[in-house]
Amino acid sequence: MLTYLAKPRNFLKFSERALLWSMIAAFFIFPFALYKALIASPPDYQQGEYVRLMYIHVPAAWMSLGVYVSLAIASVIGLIKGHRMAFIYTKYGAYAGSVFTFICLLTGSLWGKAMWGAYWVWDARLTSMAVLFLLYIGYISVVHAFDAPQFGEKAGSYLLIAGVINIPIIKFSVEWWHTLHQPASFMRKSGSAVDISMMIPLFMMLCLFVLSYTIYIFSKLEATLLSKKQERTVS
Amino acid sequence: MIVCLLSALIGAALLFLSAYEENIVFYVTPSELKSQDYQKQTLRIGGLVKAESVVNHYDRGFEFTVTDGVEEVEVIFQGILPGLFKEGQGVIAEGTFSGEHFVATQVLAKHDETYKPPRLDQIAERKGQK
Repeated sequence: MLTYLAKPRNFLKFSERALLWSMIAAFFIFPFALYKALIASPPDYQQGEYVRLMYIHVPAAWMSLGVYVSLAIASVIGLIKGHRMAFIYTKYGAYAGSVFTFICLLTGSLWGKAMWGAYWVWDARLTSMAVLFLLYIGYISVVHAFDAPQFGEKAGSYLLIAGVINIPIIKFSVEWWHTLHQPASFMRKSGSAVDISMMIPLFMMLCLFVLSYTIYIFSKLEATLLSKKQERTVS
Repeated sequence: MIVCLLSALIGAALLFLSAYEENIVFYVTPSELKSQDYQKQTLRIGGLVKAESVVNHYDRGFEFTVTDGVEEVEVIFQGILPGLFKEGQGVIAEGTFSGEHFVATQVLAKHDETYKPPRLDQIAERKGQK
């Protein structure tokens, strides 16, 4: 499958279809998700209307982690198999990942001021999330720091792979240490702690986030491949 | 080689985290407080606001008890309490001990991981307030 997609011609065929269907799905989910999250879903028993920040904060946080893991996997594949596609993916994926992390930090900060009484504290969850943002920024800087792009891509990939250690720290920080941030509401032993009326809009928003990332990354990859093809035919 | 590097990395991370355990922990509970001497040191105490313990002294601030079910700490705070602050709710107070009392300079509210719509009686209560 991966070897098949690593060939530019096969990839272009696949990405055209993926782009089309993602756009169609996003077009239909968009109004429903926003209506559900911003209007139709109930206020929280403690937090009132502020709970609506969750519908942006939580999907952004999940995306920032998920994108990071996918970048690290792509780095491993790129380093072992030497597929150029893997490095092009990590290069563009890192931009989106850093944006998701930034959205998560920004909405979390506003939410924290409203609920906890502080924009920022140095507890384990918030700090490890800030480290994730720095990892993304660090990777982007490393990639562009060398005259030979191949060298930057390789060096950056090692950074991405080393940074994976931060992912379990983010995830379990709220269990391992006392933090101001509350423990996980989903993947916990006694089932979800989020009411179904809030879970549905949350997952619709997550779908939107995933689709927006898919559309972004496929159009970027496609554009890169096409411009390379053009360069080759011109020269 | 990759396995060696990875295990070295994980080992380094574990060492780092265990060495800085005290700094990573955001607050101490009243029980943990008893086992160590924290006098004259700025620290954060976390727990629940004990039921019926909040006293408003107005110009002299608030007084309340932080409990973890076993041990308790009396807290004095002059300032604005966060919106979620109430009895039975999670709270983190930053400050120093002055004798038996903990004088807080900042109070943060901590909530649990549950998200659900308000119950019917809560809605009625809210409407009654308006």
